[in-house]
Amino acid sequence: MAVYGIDLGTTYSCVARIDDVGRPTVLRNLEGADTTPSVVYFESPDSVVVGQSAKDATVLDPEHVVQLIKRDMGETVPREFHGRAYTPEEISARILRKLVDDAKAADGDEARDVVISVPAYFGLAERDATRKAGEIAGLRVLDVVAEPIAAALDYGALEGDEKRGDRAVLVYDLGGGTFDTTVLTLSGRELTVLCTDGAKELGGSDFDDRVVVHLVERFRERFPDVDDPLSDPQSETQLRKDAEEAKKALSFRERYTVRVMHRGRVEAVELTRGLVEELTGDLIERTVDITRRTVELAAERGVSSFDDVLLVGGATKMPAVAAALRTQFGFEPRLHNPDLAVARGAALYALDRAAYIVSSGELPAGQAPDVPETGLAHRPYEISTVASRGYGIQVTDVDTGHEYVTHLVHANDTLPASVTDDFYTIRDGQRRVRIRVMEQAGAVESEELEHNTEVAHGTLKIPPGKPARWPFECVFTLDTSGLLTVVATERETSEQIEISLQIGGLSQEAVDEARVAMSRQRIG
Amino acid sequence: MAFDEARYRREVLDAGLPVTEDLRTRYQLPQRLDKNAVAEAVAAVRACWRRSRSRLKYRAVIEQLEAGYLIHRPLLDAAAAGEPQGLRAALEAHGRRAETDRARLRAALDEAAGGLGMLAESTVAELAAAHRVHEDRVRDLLPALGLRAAEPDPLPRSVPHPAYARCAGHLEVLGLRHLGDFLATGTPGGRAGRPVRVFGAFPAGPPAVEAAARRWGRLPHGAAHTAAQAVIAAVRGVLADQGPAGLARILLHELAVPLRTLHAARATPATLLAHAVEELSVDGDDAPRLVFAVLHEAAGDPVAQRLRRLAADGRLTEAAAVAERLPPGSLAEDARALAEHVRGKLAEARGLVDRARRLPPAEADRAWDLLDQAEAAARDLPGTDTVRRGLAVRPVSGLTATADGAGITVRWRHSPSTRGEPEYVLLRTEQRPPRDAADGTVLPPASPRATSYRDGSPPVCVPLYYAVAVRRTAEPGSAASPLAVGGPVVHWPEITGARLSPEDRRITARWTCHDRARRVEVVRTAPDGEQVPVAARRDGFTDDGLVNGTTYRYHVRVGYLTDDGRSVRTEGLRLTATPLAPPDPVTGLDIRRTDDHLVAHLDPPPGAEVRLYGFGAAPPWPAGTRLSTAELPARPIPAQPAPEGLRFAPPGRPTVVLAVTVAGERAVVGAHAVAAARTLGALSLTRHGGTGVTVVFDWPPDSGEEVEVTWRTPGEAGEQRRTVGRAAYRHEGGVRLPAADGAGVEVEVRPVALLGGLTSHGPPNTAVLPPRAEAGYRLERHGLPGRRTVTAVFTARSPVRAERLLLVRSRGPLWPLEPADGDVLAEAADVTLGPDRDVKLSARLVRGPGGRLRCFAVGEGLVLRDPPQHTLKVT
Repeated sequence: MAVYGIDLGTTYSCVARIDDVGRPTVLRNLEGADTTPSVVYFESPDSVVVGQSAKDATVLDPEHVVQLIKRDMGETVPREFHGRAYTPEEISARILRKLVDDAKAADGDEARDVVISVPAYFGLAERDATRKAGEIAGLRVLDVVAEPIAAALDYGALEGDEKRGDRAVLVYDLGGGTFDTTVLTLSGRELTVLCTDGAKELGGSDFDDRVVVHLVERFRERFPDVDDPLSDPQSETQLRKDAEEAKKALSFRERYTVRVMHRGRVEAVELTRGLVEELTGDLIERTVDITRRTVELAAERGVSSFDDVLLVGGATKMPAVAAALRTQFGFEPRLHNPDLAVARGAALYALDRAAYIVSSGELPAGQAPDVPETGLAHRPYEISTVASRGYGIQVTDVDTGHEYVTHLVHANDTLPASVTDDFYTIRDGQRRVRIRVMEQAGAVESEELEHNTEVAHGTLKIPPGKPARWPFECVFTLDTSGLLTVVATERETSEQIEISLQIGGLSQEAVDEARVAMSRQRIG
Repeated sequence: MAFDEARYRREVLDAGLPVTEDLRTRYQLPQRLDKNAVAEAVAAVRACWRRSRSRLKYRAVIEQLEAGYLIHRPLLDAAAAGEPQGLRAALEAHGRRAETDRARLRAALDEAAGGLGMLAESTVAELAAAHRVHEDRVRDLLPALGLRAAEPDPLPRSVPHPAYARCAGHLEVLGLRHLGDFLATGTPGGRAGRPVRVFGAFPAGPPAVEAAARRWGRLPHGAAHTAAQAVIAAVRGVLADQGPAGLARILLHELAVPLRTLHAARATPATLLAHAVEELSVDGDDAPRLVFAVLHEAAGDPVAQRLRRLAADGRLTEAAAVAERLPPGSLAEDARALAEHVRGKLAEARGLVDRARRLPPAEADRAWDLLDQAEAAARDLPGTDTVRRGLAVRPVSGLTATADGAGITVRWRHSPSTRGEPEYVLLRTEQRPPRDAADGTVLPPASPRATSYRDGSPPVCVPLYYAVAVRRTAEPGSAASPLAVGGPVVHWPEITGARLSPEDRRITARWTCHDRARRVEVVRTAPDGEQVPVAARRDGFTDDGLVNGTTYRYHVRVGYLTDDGRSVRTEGLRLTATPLAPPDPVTGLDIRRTDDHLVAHLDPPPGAEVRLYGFGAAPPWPAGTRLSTAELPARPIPAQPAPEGLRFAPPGRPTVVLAVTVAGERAVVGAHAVAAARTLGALSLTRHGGTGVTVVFDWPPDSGEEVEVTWRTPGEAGEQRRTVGRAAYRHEGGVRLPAADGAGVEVEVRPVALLGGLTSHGPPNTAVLPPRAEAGYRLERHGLPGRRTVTAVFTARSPVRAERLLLVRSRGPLWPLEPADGDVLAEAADVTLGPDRDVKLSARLVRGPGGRLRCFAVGEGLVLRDPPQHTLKVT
């Protein structure tokens, strides 16, 4: 058994492992491709198809196909197929299963220990959901790793010449469905994430949408008497495929013609690179805007220039991306394995985590992961990262009764972070304090309840007969893996209560149940 | 009131079309319509039109003014003649009409403003055109109505920045109305707390945008968050590219879109205004301006339209200014091209003005042409008139002033300057030359371009200087040329009104001489050259003892004393006269006709002239009356001397011709005679029954009132005579004369005139009626009925020749009146009838419907008498 790194992408996923000489290697799927479409086709109650075949099935049976499930991770939005509801974690689990099954077919090893990449700005719920998806797939998730960190690792940031000195790297990751941008500093084997930002619903598929809408408009101009192609799921799916093809082609060509077919009518629509850039200009502009925010924050933290600007994610192959960065910031960005870098970096990180687990004795020997024998002495990475969101707890102003969120850890605070603060009861004789752990929901921290999401909750017992404003202490800890613990201490008895946090929508039981259910399905 | 041309030009000519209907302004009429003042004002105004016609920019206005003058002329003429009532009534009527028009215009302005408090410049122009007033008049009314003229603000037709193109959808997702809401709030469905300023204020600067970004960034990740982030990214992009002004344009566009939609749905301005304020939270001050802009963009780009109209009017300076005031990039493509074109043309015109300004004075005419070209391109080019006023004009040359005793003649040659209607101003000063064009007495040449002037009454006995200045009248206020001066010249007047009266051996002279004259000297020169001084008075002389018929010449000179005591004599006048003896009257006068003329036979008295005078009655003077020629009728009868007397054309009607002998100024009445009237027309004689002859002729109205008719039978002695008046002639239908049956008659008719107791016979007309020959016939029948033969036997008592004899049977029961009324049964030609020389014509009578027979004879004077009718039946 080996350790694997998995890039669980919004539109494409990829798996890699460390080969015998210590280099990350991407494992091809059964269709012979490096990447597998993150598309799941529930063909029947006991048969699920993942990958290109599922994507092809969208044209014929779009009602039973799921795409872009990564955008729903951390949300409670089940989908129902053949009489059974599937959570996003379960659906992602089927993608993971397909990846590791194909990996086994490729190199013969059973995959068990994996590291799954997540976008840098993913919050606790999303990370937890990803982790649980791995568990549902029957994998042991050693860790989740932020995609920019993985990309930087693949770039070899921490390999080779240690005398290169300190370097600053900006990773611009525009994937199929998400976008994030991260500033890292590298010093020897030490990787520090300075700040990160991103958007959940901004990726290559949004670019495809624009092209689809354009194609539909041209078609409707030509055939005004024919109904909207988007009213027909099959036509829409076909258009999406065509639009994606066109977008990819126009990264290399100047013109591309799409034949829009609907209700027996055909309209050949010519697309040019300039036109597509015009249609998607505002999306690029949004990425630039987020990048600018990140760059400004990095400058505040002492990094005002970048030695490397890495473009990661399939959508960065569009020439407009590099051009916009060049124009807006004067960067000279470089494409670095845009489709594969994250999986490869995740594999490197998995190796590092496995080596750490083995060396630290964290797990019993029988359960310890296999560390590949590369013949090289492994030197562990020292990775410090930042919080992707702000975290706090809900409090009540006793004077006004106004409920709000007080943040203890803020976005881009260096991890691990541990914050201690005193809180008080609000009523005489109060016996219980319900603690709600809130996560910043938007890009900017806000104390308003509606701008935060509850990610965990717990209850603290208070001794009887205590007056109002009775103090208790809360210690709020977030480690580098994003593991959150909250310990509350009642002052009088010094009773410590570690609040068991229920993160996300799935309990462990539900995870186990889902794993069992999945094992009954054939996944191809 | 002196005519102020500059003011007139400003008020009327520069104002352009339409021309003011106010006659007081149009003709610069004085307040009191004094007749002389009205005449002067109208003349001055019309002169100004003529002068200004040469300026192209005034041409159209002046054509209308001149055409209008034809309508107003009766009123103006009447006022100039002292009857101003009509003109006054017209002015009052105009005043009333103007007040009504103003009220109507005010109502129209209110209506057009639609409660927005402003009107587009183009609307002002259209209202001015619709009400036929000048735009400035409309503008003057606006403040009182609480309105103002404004250019509609250009509104972006599409999203002003590509980055913002999809933000309308994002705002929709966020439940926001516009960028103002977005920047002011941070929650979906939020509303800006304060009214949104659209004009003159930017919606947000970078700090406000960042604050909004922070507010919107707090939203949980999801559709609203994504939409808000997209808007923030777009706003940042706009801010970076275009600054806060870009955001202002975007807000303007967003606010305009719903208003446009409402406007397309036929909403009224009030509805739009209410929507802008209440639904879109637009600031109360900015909302009317925004609605105004929306309303005006629907009808096309008002700025472009105004540009086009100004360019078409040639008002390029204003057009360029309009284009300049607009923010860059707000004009449509075609309007931008037009603005560029206008700027180019304007620069070209300015270049022409500059060139004109730089040309040397010698080329002022060329400069004038350049300015004309510049004005043709841009008629509102400032500074053109100033350059024109500064153009030099070249003086006249060759000025001479010549005194001739009766006055002074000033002559000069044209100025080389020809542009701008140059006018010559002639000045006269005494003792010293004029200093400038305003110095001295201004003399009026016959026309502004005359090159000579006759000064008929200059000051006498004093040195005079004449000067001519040239001025371009097409540009009032322009400088005059340097003066061309002539002189000094002194006017020494000769005698005036000199009249010589020749009498019998004496000549009398009368005249007038100037008060300053000291004496008059007269010298008589006889035909033999002998010169004799004649004693003369200040007012004439009497020269006796002369020889009648001799022509004497008199040289009359006037002596003056100059201021310094010198004696000066004029060149003098030369007069001629011939003393004459008194005339003798003509004793005998006889007027005879010769061909188509009349000749007055008379014995002309020696050494005198005989004139003939015509009178319609007896002459007013008896023969021998002596008269002065002044007492005679103005015009004698034009007559030519002929060997036997005087030959003249016949007068149009009977006239008494009087012979008058004339010698010098004296005349004596002589004999008189009557000149006959015109001849009558040709006579026409007709036998009247068996015993009379009727004479008919053309009797012209001017051929007298009576004719004398004389007639006789040829071959017989004695004639008869009769006088017939015009009334009798008409009553009888001619002149009826008794004549024997069939006898020939000779008739002579001549007009008779009786004037002044004298009878005159006009030229006679004659005619002859030949005698008549008679023949008869009878019909004889032979044979049985059905085979009957008829024979006509023609007989005559005296020999008579017949050209044809015919036997005719009628075709019906009627009597044949001429041969054509029936069938000719038999005929004979060229036969002679006489005693015992009967002629017979026979024919068979066939059965048929014809019931009558008759014979006809043709020959000169031949009359065929029918037998009794019962013998003429066909039996």
